[in-house]
Amino acid sequence: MILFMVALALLFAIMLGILSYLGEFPKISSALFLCGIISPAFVLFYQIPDFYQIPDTLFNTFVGGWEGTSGIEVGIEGFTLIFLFGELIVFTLVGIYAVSYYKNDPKRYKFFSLILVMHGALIGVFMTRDIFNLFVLMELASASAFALVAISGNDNSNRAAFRYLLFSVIASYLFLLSIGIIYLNTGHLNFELIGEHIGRSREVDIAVGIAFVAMILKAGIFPLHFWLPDVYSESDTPICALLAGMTRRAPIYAMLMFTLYLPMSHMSDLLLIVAFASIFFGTTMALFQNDVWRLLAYASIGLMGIVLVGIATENTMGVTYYVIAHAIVTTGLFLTTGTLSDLQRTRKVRDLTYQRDIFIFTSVVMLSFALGSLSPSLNAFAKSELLEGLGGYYAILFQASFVMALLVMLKMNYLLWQDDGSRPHYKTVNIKSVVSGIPAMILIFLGLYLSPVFVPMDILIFVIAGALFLLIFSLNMLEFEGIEKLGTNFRTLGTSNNYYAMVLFTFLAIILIYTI
Amino acid sequence: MIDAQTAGIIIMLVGMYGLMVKRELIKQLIAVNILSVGLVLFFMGIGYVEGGGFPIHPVDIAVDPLPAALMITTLVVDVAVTSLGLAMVIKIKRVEAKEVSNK
Repeated sequence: MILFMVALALLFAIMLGILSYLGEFPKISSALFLCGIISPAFVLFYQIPDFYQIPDTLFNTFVGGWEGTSGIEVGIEGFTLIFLFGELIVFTLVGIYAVSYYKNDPKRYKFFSLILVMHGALIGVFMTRDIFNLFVLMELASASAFALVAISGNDNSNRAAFRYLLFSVIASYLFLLSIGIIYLNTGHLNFELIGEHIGRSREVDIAVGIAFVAMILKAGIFPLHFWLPDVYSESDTPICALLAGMTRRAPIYAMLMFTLYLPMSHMSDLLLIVAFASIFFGTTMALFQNDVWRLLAYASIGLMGIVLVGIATENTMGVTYYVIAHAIVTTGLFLTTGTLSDLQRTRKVRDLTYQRDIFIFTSVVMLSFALGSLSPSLNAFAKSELLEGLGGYYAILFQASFVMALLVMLKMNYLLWQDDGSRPHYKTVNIKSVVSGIPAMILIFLGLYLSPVFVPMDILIFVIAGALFLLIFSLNMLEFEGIEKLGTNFRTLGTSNNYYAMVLFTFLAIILIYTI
Repeated sequence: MIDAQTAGIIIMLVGMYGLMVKRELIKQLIAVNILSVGLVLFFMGIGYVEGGGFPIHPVDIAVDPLPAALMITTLVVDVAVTSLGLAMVIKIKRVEAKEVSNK
């Protein structure tokens, strides 16, 4: 029955594809799209017997009844259920937003079908227990993402999509290579059977190292983040929200499965170094961006480092809560800032203003505090879970990461508060601004439900971030702007791809030398 | 003589080399394809058994069919992604031509 969650999303995607050949049916296409988005949630809720007493393993089944070593196992347990809830929340919000966003767009059939394919693939990713099946479903979700970015309409979107495709495919093949080595050593593709039969050896260490490089590239974590800011800044608002909110969570899920079933204690120190490098690089770069989406993209690169900290310390529940909290907060921020930039026809953070829209203003402020993991929010609860696995200098660095995240948010809110009156007047409340405000409410509600306490440390973090902001402000450093631009012609795009490939293979070589 | 796995890894390295030195986008896509062909050969080597027959016949020694089954799926993914990449290259070329004519 749980397989219907994937099947229904894909079925509605096919129906939309057929409908596009029959003619223009705006209302029917929107209705089919929303059915495809919401129907997996109904299947899931129908299957859960009691929301207050959810067992550790909820469902477990084999596709086609082929059990044991020859079948593909799918299942939902504690942490995968949270991933699925997060996926369904993000897709439902973005789905409603997309219907309004693409109301008059002739390409809406393509967008709707591809979003549904991505929806089905990501649900499958979070349910599968088979490593090769995980690869195939991730590829399906990625292929939809490439196409969604490419058809976003901007002249540069194809360039950004091409780079995304190129490096994502290389990451997939590296992941597949690691699957091959694991299969060679264990003779299995099922995670549980791999866990039972695997032993620590040089080959297995290499396989784990290669898989982590591939997943770091797919998740857009420093130093393999180069494809990400361009992709975000060249996409439409709902596509960007989906990419930031959910597509990058699939590789995190793969990493979690690796930490659960494969020996990776030898990688933890290296992963912590990469994680903290990503946090401080991402947040520092975000401080010097003028495009609001590039700012959020770099902040997201930084905060994915926090997820990697949890993976390095093998803190499954901490990672799960943080991934979902971060997914909802980034979705909310991209939707709110996207709504603002669409209304005010600019993406420059110093030209945008939220002063005239109290709804978006409240949402952005709440989401900014949630991004800085201030209590009460789901992010604050996830942060406290992640802190449990850390000690010493790492715990201090971890708290410093949130100072940096808050600093970025203070800068963004300060600039968004400025209003020189030059922006055109716009209708203040519409369906898009209402939908983009919901993530903030979900985060606060879940934060209050899971941990209704105020953490005194948050005051200190806020004060330090505020002091740093005043320092930067007094030094006129807010005037700095990002200099990174997408290759503006065929040849420079190719050349920059060469350099990024060198970065990728050098990083791979470093990881392999370290693991050997 | 080298085995199929080693040959596969060498071909993958050729693909990686292509990605680092070739500037044209189509050649970069071909480099990714070479990388994937190396990967397919690597998997074929995993399933290969000396003197093994077809696994569908009742034979004493058979090759492992699973890597071949996996690679068929991988080839499908590869074809889909390559065609998508080539479509993007065509569109990039058109945009570039438009930009040049506008100048």
